Amino acid sequence: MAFGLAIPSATGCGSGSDTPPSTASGPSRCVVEHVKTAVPVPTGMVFTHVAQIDAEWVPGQQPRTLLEQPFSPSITWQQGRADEREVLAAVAANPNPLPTGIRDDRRSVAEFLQGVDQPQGVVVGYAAVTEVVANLTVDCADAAQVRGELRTWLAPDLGAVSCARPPEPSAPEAADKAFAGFCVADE
Amino acid sequence: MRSHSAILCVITSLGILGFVDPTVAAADDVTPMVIACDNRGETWYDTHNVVRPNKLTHYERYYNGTGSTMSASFSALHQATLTASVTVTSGGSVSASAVIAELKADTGLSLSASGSSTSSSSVGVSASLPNGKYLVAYRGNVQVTGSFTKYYCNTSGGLNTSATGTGKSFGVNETGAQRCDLAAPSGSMAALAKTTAC
Repeated sequence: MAFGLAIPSATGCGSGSDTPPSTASGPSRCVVEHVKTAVPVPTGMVFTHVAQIDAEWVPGQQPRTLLEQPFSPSITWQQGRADEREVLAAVAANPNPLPTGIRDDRRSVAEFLQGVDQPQGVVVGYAAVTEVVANLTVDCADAAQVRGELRTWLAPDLGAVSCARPPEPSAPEAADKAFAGFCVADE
Repeated sequence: MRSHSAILCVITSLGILGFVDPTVAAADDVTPMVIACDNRGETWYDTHNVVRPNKLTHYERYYNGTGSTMSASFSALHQATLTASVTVTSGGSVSASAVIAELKADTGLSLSASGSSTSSSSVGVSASLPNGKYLVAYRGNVQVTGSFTKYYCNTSGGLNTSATGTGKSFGVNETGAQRCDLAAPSGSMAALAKTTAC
Protein backbone atom coordinates (compact mmCIF):
# COMPACT_ATOMS: atom_id res chain seq x y z
CA MET A 1 0.00 0.00 0.00
CA ALA A 2 1.44 3.28 -1.05
CA PHE A 3 1.65 6.18 1.31
CA GLY A 4 1.89 9.72 0.15
CA LEU A 5 0.95 13.17 1.16
CA ALA A 6 0.63 16.37 -0.77
CA ILE A 7 2.89 19.10 0.36
CA PRO A 8 2.20 22.80 -0.01
CA SER A 9 3.82 24.77 -2.80
CA ALA A 10 6.71 25.37 -0.51
CA THR A 11 7.50 24.13 2.93
CA GLY A 12 7.88 26.86 5.43
CA CYS A 13 10.68 26.78 7.92
CA GLY A 14 9.85 28.05 11.34
CA SER A 15 10.89 31.57 11.99
CA GLY A 16 11.98 33.20 15.17
CA SER A 17 11.23 36.68 16.31
CA ASP A 18 14.58 37.81 14.98
CA THR A 19 13.62 36.92 11.41
CA PRO A 20 13.63 40.10 9.37
CA PRO A 21 10.33 40.94 7.68
CA SER A 22 10.12 39.99 4.01
CA THR A 23 9.46 43.55 3.03
CA ALA A 24 12.97 44.47 4.05
CA SER A 25 14.79 41.45 2.75
CA GLY A 26 16.15 40.09 -0.50
CA PRO A 27 14.25 38.21 -3.19
CA SER A 28 14.77 34.75 -1.68
CA ARG A 29 13.77 35.59 1.90
CA CYS A 30 10.03 34.99 1.51
CA VAL A 31 9.38 31.27 1.52
CA VAL A 32 6.15 31.14 -0.42
CA GLU A 33 3.29 29.42 1.39
CA HIS A 34 0.25 30.69 -0.44
CA VAL A 35 -0.53 33.11 -3.24
CA LYS A 36 -3.83 34.88 -3.81
CA THR A 37 -4.62 36.63 -7.07
CA ALA A 38 -7.35 39.21 -7.57
CA VAL A 39 -9.72 39.20 -10.51
CA PRO A 40 -7.60 39.99 -13.59
CA VAL A 41 -8.19 43.28 -15.36
CA PRO A 42 -7.78 43.37 -19.15
CA THR A 43 -5.38 45.99 -20.47
CA GLY A 44 -5.60 45.28 -24.20
CA MET A 45 -4.97 42.87 -27.01
CA VAL A 46 -1.42 42.02 -28.07
CA PHE A 47 -0.17 39.92 -30.95
CA THR A 48 2.20 37.11 -30.10
CA HIS A 49 2.85 35.97 -33.66
CA VAL A 50 1.90 37.09 -37.17
CA ALA A 51 2.89 35.39 -40.42
CA GLN A 52 1.82 35.45 -44.03
CA ILE A 53 1.53 33.26 -47.10
CA ASP A 54 0.76 34.30 -50.67
CA ALA A 55 -0.20 32.89 -54.04
CA GLU A 56 3.31 31.46 -54.52
CA TRP A 57 3.12 29.51 -51.31
CA VAL A 58 2.68 25.74 -51.41
CA PRO A 59 1.59 23.52 -48.52
CA GLY A 60 4.53 22.38 -46.46
CA GLN A 61 6.41 25.64 -46.75
CA GLN A 62 6.93 27.73 -43.66
CA PRO A 63 4.97 31.02 -43.67
CA ARG A 64 6.92 34.28 -43.65
CA THR A 65 7.10 35.64 -40.12
CA LEU A 66 5.96 39.25 -39.79
CA LEU A 67 5.97 39.52 -36.01
CA GLU A 68 7.36 37.27 -33.31
CA GLN A 69 6.60 38.41 -29.81
CA PRO A 70 6.10 35.56 -27.30
CA PHE A 71 4.34 36.69 -24.13
CA SER A 72 6.14 35.96 -20.85
CA PRO A 73 4.11 36.46 -17.66
CA SER A 74 5.92 38.63 -15.13
CA ILE A 75 5.50 40.17 -11.71
CA THR A 76 6.08 43.76 -10.67
CA TRP A 77 6.71 43.88 -6.93
CA GLN A 78 5.01 46.64 -4.99
CA GLN A 79 5.69 45.70 -1.36
CA GLY A 80 8.58 43.39 -0.61
CA ARG A 81 9.44 40.64 -3.04
CA ALA A 82 9.61 36.89 -3.37
CA ASP A 83 11.15 34.47 -5.81
CA GLU A 84 9.23 35.01 -9.06
CA ARG A 85 9.46 31.41 -10.28
CA GLU A 86 8.23 30.14 -6.93
CA VAL A 87 5.31 32.56 -6.94
CA LEU A 88 4.33 31.70 -10.52
CA ALA A 89 4.40 28.01 -9.61
CA ALA A 90 2.07 28.72 -6.69
CA VAL A 91 -0.26 30.72 -8.96
CA ALA A 92 -0.34 27.77 -11.36
CA ALA A 93 -1.28 25.46 -8.49
CA ASN A 94 -4.29 27.54 -7.44
CA PRO A 95 -7.73 25.97 -8.03
CA ASN A 96 -8.55 28.47 -10.78
CA PRO A 97 -5.12 29.45 -11.97
CA LEU A 98 -4.12 32.25 -14.27
CA PRO A 99 -1.71 31.23 -17.03
CA THR A 100 1.92 31.42 -15.98
CA GLY A 101 3.66 29.89 -18.98
CA ILE A 102 5.25 31.64 -21.94
CA ARG A 103 2.82 32.10 -24.80
CA ASP A 104 4.60 31.23 -28.05
CA ASP A 105 2.27 30.75 -31.03
CA ARG A 106 4.75 30.39 -33.89
CA ARG A 107 3.96 26.71 -34.40
CA SER A 108 0.20 27.11 -33.96
CA VAL A 109 0.02 29.82 -36.63
CA ALA A 110 2.21 27.84 -39.04
CA GLU A 111 0.10 24.71 -38.62
CA PHE A 112 -3.13 26.65 -39.03
CA LEU A 113 -1.97 28.30 -42.25
CA GLN A 114 -1.23 24.86 -43.69
CA GLY A 115 -5.02 24.56 -43.90
CA VAL A 116 -5.30 27.32 -46.50
CA ASP A 117 -6.09 25.71 -49.86
CA GLN A 118 -4.29 27.56 -52.65
CA PRO A 119 -4.36 31.19 -51.48
CA GLN A 120 -5.48 33.59 -54.20
CA GLY A 121 -3.49 36.43 -52.69
CA VAL A 122 -1.86 37.31 -49.41
CA VAL A 123 -3.26 35.62 -46.31
CA VAL A 124 -2.14 36.75 -42.87
CA GLY A 125 -2.24 34.35 -39.94
CA TYR A 126 -2.15 35.80 -36.46
CA ALA A 127 -2.16 34.84 -32.79
CA ALA A 128 -3.17 37.30 -30.12
CA VAL A 129 -3.95 37.29 -26.43
CA THR A 130 -5.66 39.68 -24.06
CA GLU A 131 -3.08 41.08 -21.69
CA VAL A 132 -4.34 41.20 -18.10
CA VAL A 133 -2.98 42.39 -14.79
CA ALA A 134 -3.96 41.01 -11.40
CA ASN A 135 -2.93 42.08 -7.93
CA LEU A 136 -1.34 39.25 -6.00
CA THR A 137 -0.64 38.71 -2.33
CA VAL A 138 1.99 36.25 -1.21
CA ASP A 139 1.82 34.75 2.27
CA CYS A 140 5.33 33.90 3.41
CA ALA A 141 6.25 31.15 5.86
CA ASP A 142 7.25 33.71 8.48
CA ALA A 143 3.72 35.22 8.35
CA ALA A 144 4.90 38.23 6.40
CA GLN A 145 3.14 39.25 3.19
CA VAL A 146 4.52 40.64 0.00
CA ARG A 147 2.44 42.21 -2.74
CA GLY A 148 2.82 42.66 -6.42
CA GLU A 149 1.08 42.78 -9.77
CA LEU A 150 1.00 39.81 -12.10
CA ARG A 151 0.99 40.57 -15.80
CA THR A 152 -0.23 37.64 -17.83
CA TRP A 153 -2.50 36.66 -20.71
CA LEU A 154 -5.98 35.27 -21.30
CA ALA A 155 -8.30 34.57 -24.23
CA PRO A 156 -5.91 33.24 -26.87
CA ASP A 157 -7.26 34.14 -30.29
CA LEU A 158 -5.85 32.78 -33.54
CA GLY A 159 -7.01 33.28 -37.06
CA ALA A 160 -6.29 34.01 -40.67
CA VAL A 161 -7.53 36.84 -42.87
CA SER A 162 -7.36 37.42 -46.58
CA CYS A 163 -5.75 40.70 -47.52
CA ALA A 164 -8.00 40.90 -50.60
CA ARG A 165 -10.90 42.33 -48.61
CA PRO A 166 -11.63 43.59 -45.09
CA PRO A 167 -12.78 41.01 -42.53
CA GLU A 168 -16.50 40.51 -42.10
CA PRO A 169 -18.32 42.49 -39.38
CA SER A 170 -18.45 39.33 -37.24
CA ALA A 171 -14.67 39.03 -37.25
CA PRO A 172 -12.80 39.45 -33.95
CA GLU A 173 -10.80 42.54 -33.03
CA ALA A 174 -7.58 40.64 -33.70
CA ALA A 175 -8.62 39.92 -37.29
CA ASP A 176 -9.41 43.59 -37.91
CA LYS A 177 -6.08 44.65 -36.41
CA ALA A 178 -4.16 42.01 -38.33
CA PHE A 179 -5.76 43.20 -41.58
CA ALA A 180 -5.11 46.87 -40.78
CA GLY A 181 -1.61 46.35 -39.49
CA PHE A 182 -0.13 43.63 -41.66
CA CYS A 183 -2.01 43.61 -44.99
CA VAL A 184 -1.59 47.22 -46.05
CA ALA A 185 2.08 47.09 -46.93
CA ASP A 186 1.65 44.17 -49.32
CA GLU A 187 -1.55 45.20 -51.08
CA MET B 1 -13.44 -5.54 3.80
CA ARG B 2 -16.48 -3.36 3.36
CA SER B 3 -18.01 -4.30 6.69
CA HIS B 4 -17.66 -0.68 7.68
CA SER B 5 -20.67 0.12 5.54
CA ALA B 6 -22.91 -1.31 8.23
CA ILE B 7 -21.19 0.86 10.78
CA LEU B 8 -21.63 3.90 8.61
CA CYS B 9 -25.34 3.13 8.46
CA VAL B 10 -25.40 3.33 12.24
CA ILE B 11 -23.46 6.56 12.13
CA THR B 12 -25.83 7.94 9.53
CA SER B 13 -28.80 7.09 11.70
CA LEU B 14 -27.16 9.04 14.48
CA GLY B 15 -26.86 11.98 12.17
CA ILE B 16 -23.14 12.41 12.52
CA LEU B 17 -21.74 10.98 9.35
CA GLY B 18 -18.59 12.81 8.48
CA PHE B 19 -17.91 13.88 12.03
CA VAL B 20 -17.29 10.96 14.30
CA ASP B 21 -16.18 11.83 17.78
CA PRO B 22 -16.38 8.98 20.28
CA THR B 23 -16.00 11.36 23.19
CA VAL B 24 -19.20 13.23 22.42
CA ALA B 25 -21.91 12.48 24.98
CA ALA B 26 -25.62 13.13 24.96
CA ALA B 27 -26.65 16.11 27.07
CA ASP B 28 -28.43 14.00 29.67
CA ASP B 29 -25.96 11.16 29.66
CA VAL B 30 -22.77 11.09 31.67
CA THR B 31 -21.39 8.14 29.75
CA PRO B 32 -19.26 9.08 26.74
CA MET B 33 -20.88 7.79 23.57
CA VAL B 34 -18.78 5.15 21.91
CA ILE B 35 -19.67 4.01 18.44
CA ALA B 36 -19.15 0.32 18.18
CA CYS B 37 -17.58 -1.44 15.25
CA ASP B 38 -17.14 -5.11 14.59
CA ASN B 39 -14.18 -5.00 12.22
CA ARG B 40 -11.57 -4.58 14.91
CA GLY B 41 -8.15 -3.53 13.72
CA GLU B 42 -9.36 -2.38 10.34
CA THR B 43 -8.82 1.02 8.75
CA TRP B 44 -10.92 2.49 5.96
CA TYR B 45 -11.73 5.74 4.24
CA ASP B 46 -14.96 7.51 3.43
CA THR B 47 -15.25 10.45 1.06
CA HIS B 48 -17.90 13.15 1.05
CA ASN B 49 -18.70 16.52 -0.55
CA VAL B 50 -17.29 15.14 -3.79
CA VAL B 51 -17.52 17.51 -6.75
CA ARG B 52 -16.54 16.76 -10.33
CA PRO B 53 -16.48 19.84 -12.59
CA ASN B 54 -15.06 19.81 -16.10
CA LYS B 55 -11.81 21.77 -16.40
CA LEU B 56 -10.01 22.89 -19.51
CA THR B 57 -6.25 22.44 -19.59
CA HIS B 58 -5.76 23.64 -23.19
CA TYR B 59 -7.81 25.81 -25.49
CA GLU B 60 -7.55 28.25 -28.39
CA ARG B 61 -10.15 30.08 -30.43
CA TYR B 62 -9.67 30.21 -34.19
CA TYR B 63 -11.27 32.45 -36.81
CA ASN B 64 -11.23 31.79 -40.53
CA GLY B 65 -11.32 34.96 -42.61
CA THR B 66 -9.50 33.63 -45.64
CA GLY B 67 -12.53 33.52 -47.92
CA SER B 68 -12.65 29.73 -48.18
CA THR B 69 -13.02 26.71 -45.95
CA MET B 70 -9.88 25.59 -44.11
CA SER B 71 -9.07 22.01 -43.18
CA ALA B 72 -6.25 22.29 -40.69
CA SER B 73 -4.64 21.04 -37.53
CA PHE B 74 -5.88 23.32 -34.79
CA SER B 75 -3.36 23.50 -31.97
CA ALA B 76 -4.36 24.11 -28.39
CA LEU B 77 -1.62 25.35 -26.09
CA HIS B 78 -1.35 24.64 -22.41
CA GLN B 79 -3.39 26.88 -20.14
CA ALA B 80 -3.61 25.13 -16.79
CA THR B 81 -2.37 22.00 -15.08
CA LEU B 82 -4.53 19.67 -13.02
CA THR B 83 -2.84 17.67 -10.29
CA ALA B 84 -3.76 14.68 -8.17
CA SER B 85 -2.92 14.90 -4.50
CA VAL B 86 -4.08 14.17 -0.99
CA THR B 87 -3.79 16.70 1.80
CA VAL B 88 -4.26 15.87 5.47
CA THR B 89 -5.92 18.57 7.55
CA SER B 90 -6.03 16.66 10.84
CA GLY B 91 -4.77 13.41 12.25
CA GLY B 92 -2.00 11.12 11.20
CA SER B 93 -0.73 9.45 8.08
CA VAL B 94 -3.03 8.39 5.27
CA SER B 95 -2.79 6.23 2.19
CA ALA B 96 -3.09 8.54 -0.78
CA SER B 97 -3.90 5.62 -3.07
CA ALA B 98 -6.73 4.56 -0.76
CA VAL B 99 -8.22 8.07 -0.80
CA ILE B 100 -8.04 8.25 -4.60
CA ALA B 101 -9.56 4.76 -4.80
CA GLU B 102 -12.47 5.95 -2.69
CA LEU B 103 -12.95 8.96 -5.00
CA LYS B 104 -12.94 6.53 -7.93
CA ALA B 105 -15.61 4.44 -6.26
CA ASP B 106 -17.71 7.54 -5.56
CA THR B 107 -17.57 8.88 -9.09
CA GLY B 108 -17.17 5.76 -11.20
CA LEU B 109 -14.37 7.52 -13.07
CA SER B 110 -10.90 6.34 -13.91
CA LEU B 111 -8.74 8.72 -11.90
CA SER B 112 -5.02 9.42 -11.93
CA ALA B 113 -2.79 8.48 -9.03
CA SER B 114 -1.68 10.99 -6.43
CA GLY B 115 1.39 12.87 -7.60
CA SER B 116 0.45 12.88 -11.27
CA SER B 117 -0.50 15.92 -13.32
CA THR B 118 -1.91 16.73 -16.73
CA SER B 119 0.37 17.36 -19.68
CA SER B 120 1.68 20.80 -20.57
CA SER B 121 2.44 19.84 -24.19
CA SER B 122 0.30 21.42 -26.87
CA VAL B 123 -2.27 19.26 -28.63
CA GLY B 124 -3.52 19.31 -32.21
CA VAL B 125 -7.03 18.60 -33.50
CA SER B 126 -7.83 18.09 -37.17
CA ALA B 127 -11.02 19.83 -38.22
CA SER B 128 -12.66 21.84 -40.97
CA LEU B 129 -13.64 25.48 -40.51
CA PRO B 130 -15.82 27.37 -43.03
CA ASN B 131 -15.09 30.97 -43.94
CA GLY B 132 -16.30 33.52 -41.41
CA LYS B 133 -16.69 30.97 -38.60
CA TYR B 134 -15.06 30.44 -35.22
CA LEU B 135 -13.85 27.19 -33.68
CA VAL B 136 -12.38 26.27 -30.32
CA ALA B 137 -9.73 23.55 -30.09
CA TYR B 138 -9.62 22.19 -26.56
CA ARG B 139 -8.46 19.53 -24.13
CA GLY B 140 -9.87 19.05 -20.66
CA ASN B 141 -10.50 16.61 -17.86
CA VAL B 142 -13.04 16.02 -15.15
CA GLN B 143 -11.47 17.26 -11.93
CA VAL B 144 -12.64 15.37 -8.86
CA THR B 145 -12.27 16.90 -5.40
CA GLY B 146 -13.61 15.61 -2.11
CA SER B 147 -13.13 15.53 1.62
CA PHE B 148 -12.21 12.27 3.30
CA THR B 149 -12.30 10.76 6.75
CA LYS B 150 -10.08 7.90 7.77
CA TYR B 151 -11.72 5.56 10.25
CA TYR B 152 -10.12 3.00 12.50
CA CYS B 153 -11.88 0.28 14.44
CA ASN B 154 -9.76 -0.15 17.51
CA THR B 155 -9.05 -3.41 19.27
CA SER B 156 -11.78 -2.67 21.82
CA GLY B 157 -14.40 -2.37 19.07
CA GLY B 158 -14.64 1.41 19.28
CA LEU B 159 -14.70 3.59 16.19
CA ASN B 160 -12.03 6.26 15.86
CA THR B 161 -11.52 8.99 13.31
CA SER B 162 -7.80 8.90 12.71
CA ALA B 163 -7.44 11.50 9.97
CA THR B 164 -9.37 13.94 7.80
CA GLY B 165 -8.41 15.88 4.73
CA THR B 166 -9.05 16.47 1.06
CA GLY B 167 -8.22 14.52 -2.04
CA LYS B 168 -8.24 15.59 -5.64
CA SER B 169 -7.57 13.91 -8.93
CA PHE B 170 -8.58 14.06 -12.57
CA GLY B 171 -10.09 11.75 -15.14
CA VAL B 172 -9.07 10.77 -18.65
CA ASN B 173 -8.49 13.75 -20.93
CA GLU B 174 -10.89 14.69 -23.70
CA THR B 175 -9.64 16.51 -26.80
CA GLY B 176 -11.84 18.07 -29.44
CA ALA B 177 -12.92 20.97 -31.62
CA GLN B 178 -16.19 22.84 -31.17
CA ARG B 179 -17.60 25.32 -33.67
CA CYS B 180 -18.86 28.48 -31.96
CA ASP B 181 -21.97 28.64 -34.14
CA LEU B 182 -23.03 25.07 -33.41
CA ALA B 183 -24.65 23.64 -30.28
CA ALA B 184 -22.68 21.52 -27.83
CA PRO B 185 -24.23 18.88 -25.55
CA SER B 186 -25.18 20.35 -22.18
CA GLY B 187 -22.63 19.63 -19.47
CA SER B 188 -20.02 18.42 -21.93
CA MET B 189 -16.37 19.46 -22.23
CA ALA B 190 -17.28 20.92 -25.63
CA ALA B 191 -19.94 23.09 -23.97
CA LEU B 192 -17.38 24.35 -21.44
CA ALA B 193 -14.95 25.13 -24.26
CA LYS B 194 -17.65 27.04 -26.11
CA THR B 195 -18.67 29.01 -23.00
CA THR B 196 -15.07 29.77 -22.12
CA ALA B 197 -13.62 30.72 -25.48
CA CYS B 198 -16.31 31.57 -28.02
